[in-house]
Amino acid sequence: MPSERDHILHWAEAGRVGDDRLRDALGAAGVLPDRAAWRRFIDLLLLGFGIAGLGAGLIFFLAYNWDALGRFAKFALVQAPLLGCLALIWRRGLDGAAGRSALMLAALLVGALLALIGQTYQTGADPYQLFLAWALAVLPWAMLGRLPALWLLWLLVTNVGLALYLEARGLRDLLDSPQLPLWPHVALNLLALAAWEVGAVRGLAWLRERWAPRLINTVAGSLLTWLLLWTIVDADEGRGAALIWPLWLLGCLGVYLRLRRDLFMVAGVLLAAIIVVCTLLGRLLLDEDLVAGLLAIGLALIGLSAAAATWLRRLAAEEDAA
Amino acid sequence: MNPGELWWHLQSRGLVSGEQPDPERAPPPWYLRILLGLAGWLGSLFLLGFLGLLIEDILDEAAGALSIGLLLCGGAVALARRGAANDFLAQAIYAASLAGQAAILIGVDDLPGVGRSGVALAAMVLATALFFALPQALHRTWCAGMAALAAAFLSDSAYLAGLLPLLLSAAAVWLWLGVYDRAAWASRRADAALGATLALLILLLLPGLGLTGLLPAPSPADDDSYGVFLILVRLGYGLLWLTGVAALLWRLGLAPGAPAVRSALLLALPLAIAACLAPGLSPLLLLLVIGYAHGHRPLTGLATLALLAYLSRYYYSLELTLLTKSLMLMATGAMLLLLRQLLRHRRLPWLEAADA
Repeated sequence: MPSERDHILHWAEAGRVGDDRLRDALGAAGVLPDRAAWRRFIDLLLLGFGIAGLGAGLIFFLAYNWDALGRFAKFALVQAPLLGCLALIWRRGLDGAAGRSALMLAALLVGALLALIGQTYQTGADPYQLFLAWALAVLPWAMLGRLPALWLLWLLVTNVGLALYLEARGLRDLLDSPQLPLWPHVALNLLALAAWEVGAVRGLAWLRERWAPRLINTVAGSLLTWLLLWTIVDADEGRGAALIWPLWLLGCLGVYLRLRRDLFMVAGVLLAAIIVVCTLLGRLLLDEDLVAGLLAIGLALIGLSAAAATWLRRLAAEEDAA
Repeated sequence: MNPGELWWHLQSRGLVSGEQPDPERAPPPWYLRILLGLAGWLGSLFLLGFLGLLIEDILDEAAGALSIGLLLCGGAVALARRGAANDFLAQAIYAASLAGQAAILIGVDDLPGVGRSGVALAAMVLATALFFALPQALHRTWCAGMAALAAAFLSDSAYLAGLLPLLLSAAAVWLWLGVYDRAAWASRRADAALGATLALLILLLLPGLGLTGLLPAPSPADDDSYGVFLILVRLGYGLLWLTGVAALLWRLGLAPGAPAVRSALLLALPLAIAACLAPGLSPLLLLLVIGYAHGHRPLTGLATLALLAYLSRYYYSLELTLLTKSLMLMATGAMLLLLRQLLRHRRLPWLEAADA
């Protein structure tokens, strides 16, 4: 739904807000941050960028693999801040911003430490083992930390590990299909999404953040839609997507319209549906009559997106009225 | 607050007057804009393909393509000015205008003696004219983005390629900073700012497509002064960050000599130095802070994602060695954490209520 800011800007453009009263109107509506909010934001910004700068700098430094630095110095360079982070968490706990940021940095440093071990001792391990070990090592922290960002980091590392595993084992060639290696990622991300939403419904307060499940569903939905488009364009390729994609679509519409109203998710699903319908039209029409096919697809894109917008606006208006 | 409650809340304080505009005509939320923008853009490509095949002979001639393009754009403007009564018409206007713009640029490209610069200039002029002529938020964002991106193709000069992202960064920041200055222009300015921001992100994060990225490396053909020029551009990014912070503080109503201003500029200094070495930090951090200051959460989110993407790209950039980049990042991170501790320890008024 449009935010308070969107409505006020719309009224301003329609001439309902005095030319020099816009800031006052936005302030009165609570759109602009007050002093306390500014303090929190600046504090968080300094902390977040401080931690990100240190973590990224350390990873860049290790990647440089400076010969002048001995192996013990390199290990100390990673382990000292890791211990520092853990000491900070022990002292401050995980309820404040400092403790949580330290936990994020510690989780990143574990990856750097594992990479350094591989770089220094040439263990012969495959890269996927590094990522899966990293995911396994930070899993208890993710469970204890109750941080959406840390869970997303864990999911990212697991996805990368999975992709590298499939590549290392030659499954892509073995299965003779470029599609199949994508399915484990779809399954993993949909499972993560389902777990997230179930946890949120069961009252876990830290899972109420919407940005993380939105991001996960965007990734899972994009992969699944890509698989279906592949099937439509090349009918000889696997047909699993033709079965799973409608289930995902109906599942998302059911959950995000009835159980947990989220119009972002609904808009994403509708966009995927529009793309699928137009690809199907292209498959059916373009070979028969190219000119008519192009017109039909163009009009379908315009018509379907307009219909989606009208429906979403109506849903938003219902939500506003409720 | 729903729109009715919000209107009443503001009306009771004398901040709005007259009849409440129809909430259904409010610009769509950001995620719906993405849906409409993508579908409309794809739709315009198919419509152009349809026209291209249907009247191939006409579109092959410069005059024919120009006429079809002007007809489509003119029709879209005329319909939009009468007021798009529903989403279908609005979406058709958007797609028709985009197809018309493409046809006009194809026509300009076919004119004798017109090269890449001429097409880029035509794209800038066309997008600027349509920005003002066609009153639709999504379309205005497209036009602003197209005008900004077209500037990158104006010249092959390495100097322009190096300077343009800095100028575009400054323009995006300036547009965002002044969005709330005049109510009547706020929406238009926000659309222009968003278009400029999207163009900047394309330059910053998607080099290729004929674009050179933030700081094009000197080629053997460049003269010695190009190295000096690049240093000046880097300093320009640092200066942009400091100027942007100062301008934001001024707009928040803080007097230049106030303690909060001195503290804020002190905090901004390490990032200004970092921005000279990692230029993308400057506009992206400014967009993040301005997004927060304006209560514009999508802008804050976009800037945060762009910062993460920039940092990932920065790892692979060849402008500096990994060692230099790592030392700069660690020094900046340590400095920011140190400043945070100092400020908290001294309990300066503006941080004393911060989260423990």
